[in-house]
Amino acid sequence: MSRSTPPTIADLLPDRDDDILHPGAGVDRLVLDHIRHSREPAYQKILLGVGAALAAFFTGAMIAALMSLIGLTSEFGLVVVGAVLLTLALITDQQVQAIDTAKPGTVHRLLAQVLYLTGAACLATGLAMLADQFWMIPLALVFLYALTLFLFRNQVRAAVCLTLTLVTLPLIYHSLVNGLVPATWAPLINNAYLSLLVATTAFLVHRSRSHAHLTLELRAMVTALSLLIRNPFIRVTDILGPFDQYWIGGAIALGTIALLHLVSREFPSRRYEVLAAGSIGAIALAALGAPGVLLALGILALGYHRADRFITGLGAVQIPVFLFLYYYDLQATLIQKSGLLVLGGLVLLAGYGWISYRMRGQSS
Amino acid sequence: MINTSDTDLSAPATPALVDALYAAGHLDRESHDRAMAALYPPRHWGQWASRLLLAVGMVLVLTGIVFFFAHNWQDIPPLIKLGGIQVLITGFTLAAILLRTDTLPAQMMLLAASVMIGVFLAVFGQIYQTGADAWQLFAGWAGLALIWTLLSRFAPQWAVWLVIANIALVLWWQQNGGIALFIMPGVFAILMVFNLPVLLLFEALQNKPAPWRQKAWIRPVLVTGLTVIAVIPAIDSARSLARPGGGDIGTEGMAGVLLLIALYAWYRWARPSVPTLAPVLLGLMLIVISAVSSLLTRMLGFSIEFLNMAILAVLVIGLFVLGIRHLADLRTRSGDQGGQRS
Repeated sequence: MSRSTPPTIADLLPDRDDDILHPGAGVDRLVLDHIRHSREPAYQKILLGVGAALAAFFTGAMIAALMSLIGLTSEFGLVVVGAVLLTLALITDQQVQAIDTAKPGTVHRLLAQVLYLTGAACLATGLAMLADQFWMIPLALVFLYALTLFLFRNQVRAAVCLTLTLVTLPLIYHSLVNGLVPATWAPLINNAYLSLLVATTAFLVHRSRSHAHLTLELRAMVTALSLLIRNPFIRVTDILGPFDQYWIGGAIALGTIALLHLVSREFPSRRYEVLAAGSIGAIALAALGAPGVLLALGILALGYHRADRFITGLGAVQIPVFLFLYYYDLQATLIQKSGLLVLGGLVLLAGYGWISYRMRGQSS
Repeated sequence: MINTSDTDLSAPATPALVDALYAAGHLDRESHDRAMAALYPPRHWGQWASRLLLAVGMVLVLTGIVFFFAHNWQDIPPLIKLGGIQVLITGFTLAAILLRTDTLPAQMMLLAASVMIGVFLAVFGQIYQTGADAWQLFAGWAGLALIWTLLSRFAPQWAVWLVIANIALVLWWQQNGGIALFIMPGVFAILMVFNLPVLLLFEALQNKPAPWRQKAWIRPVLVTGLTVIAVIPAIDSARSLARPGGGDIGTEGMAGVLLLIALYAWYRWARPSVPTLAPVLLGLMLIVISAVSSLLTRMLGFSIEFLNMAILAVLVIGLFVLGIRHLADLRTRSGDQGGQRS
């Protein structure tokens, strides 16, 4: 394997005398898992996710109609139905894992996701109805997610992502913003949730490269963090005190510096130069009160570092959103705001010139 | 046991696989570092970071300029305002020529000049109170910016130009044919008539390959946009089936369905592209689901809602399984590897 030629999968495998993969062997299983999860085209994953979400909607409506038809309208009944559906999802998921092929069955995969989504919705709604508290739905979903993380394997990850990011977080925000959560609980839930997300994301950044099946969890966590820091539709930070905002800025700056530490290993000759410049930038953005912009840049770098187009795209989309929000919230006159934007742009363009100059120097 | 022909071990490795094998003890540190250096040369980071800084920096500078003029400062004389913008347009264009138009910085300069044309027209309208409608501003902007767009040979600039032109069309239709905001019968037909030739032109130009037109994202993005335009009226028509007597399906909805079928046929047989077929197939499936849902509502009503929903759930699962399998089969047959890494 030469330095300049990208290695193939076969190049990485230990010396072998056949062209057969044995799923029972550790290294072959690992390679097979990677092939399964990294070789599937993005459009196929999107179709699977859209299909699962639509089918889960109709299945949920069907269950509600059936329960109403047979007169089983108790909350406990909903919890039981949810638990049964989740068990079925688990069985289907295990069957998918048992199929030793590079292309696991589409029917099983879709069914596992539909059953998980419908079961989770029934169980969480039933529990919330039992407690007579609407805000328990997102909390129940989060706990369900934590409990099932190690039970379910790869095939329901997209469903988990969907549930967590599209359903849970907006419900939590809705509950917090509209005062549905008791006032004494709100800061506790908010900070506990944020801490959990930051810790889990840090863990996943550290571990997910060596575990292909954690990729979707990382994506979900990064998405959740982005939504939590500043949701453009629901003004989350309106319910956070100053302490929370500094905490968020500091945590993201530390996270970005840790990421830079990780990334800078890839080019040892300029490691400290990159670390110093990046750290100054991260601290400056946190101090300027722009944790969202910093987070978006960090996510972008993380996505590039992991060669993950989803995370890179997520970061790229968020940069203009957070820049707009920063501009919108800035306590300054319009002329000052315009000047700041132009000045900030010129600083970045100077950075572009500096890197281009260094790269030209390196190649000449 | 799995044959390697199913798993394609000759495909390039990924950084994640290299890390995984290292973490599991199947690679030593030296092999890991060598593989990573080959997969991800440090120079790529420099290029990536510099492009990011250039793009975000330009966006910030342009936003600052746009906001400055948008405020319509009364203290600045009109001639200075208009002259200042003209100087910026000339400056950005000259800079692009000096930097050579086929480089990224030059292309960003031309994009900036195009944005400044819109600012110029807006400020002109503010100063002289021309009474022009909003669509005329966007139409003028699209018309003038076309010169810079043609020069740029830069796909993102064409994307920006298309957005401006589509906004002009929607605003024009809203003023001339719209009942209210978002209720504009016929607007999707107009958008189809405008955007379909753009796609056809793009396909025709594929016979004369140029690097800037060969980007993998262009075709799926164009087709996805066209699919959205076609699906909305088609679903609206499908929903009308729920009305007693069948309702009016409408020519716009029919045009949408026919367009999607034509796109499917084109990218299935004439110019095979599996990633491009995916949004078209999704659009067609959504139309079928809407039509069946409407027919069921008309036939069964909400009296047997359980049966209604059960049929729809089975239909959705069946359609998506068939659709995904169909695309996977096409991909296997054509050996298409597009969009594999997500």
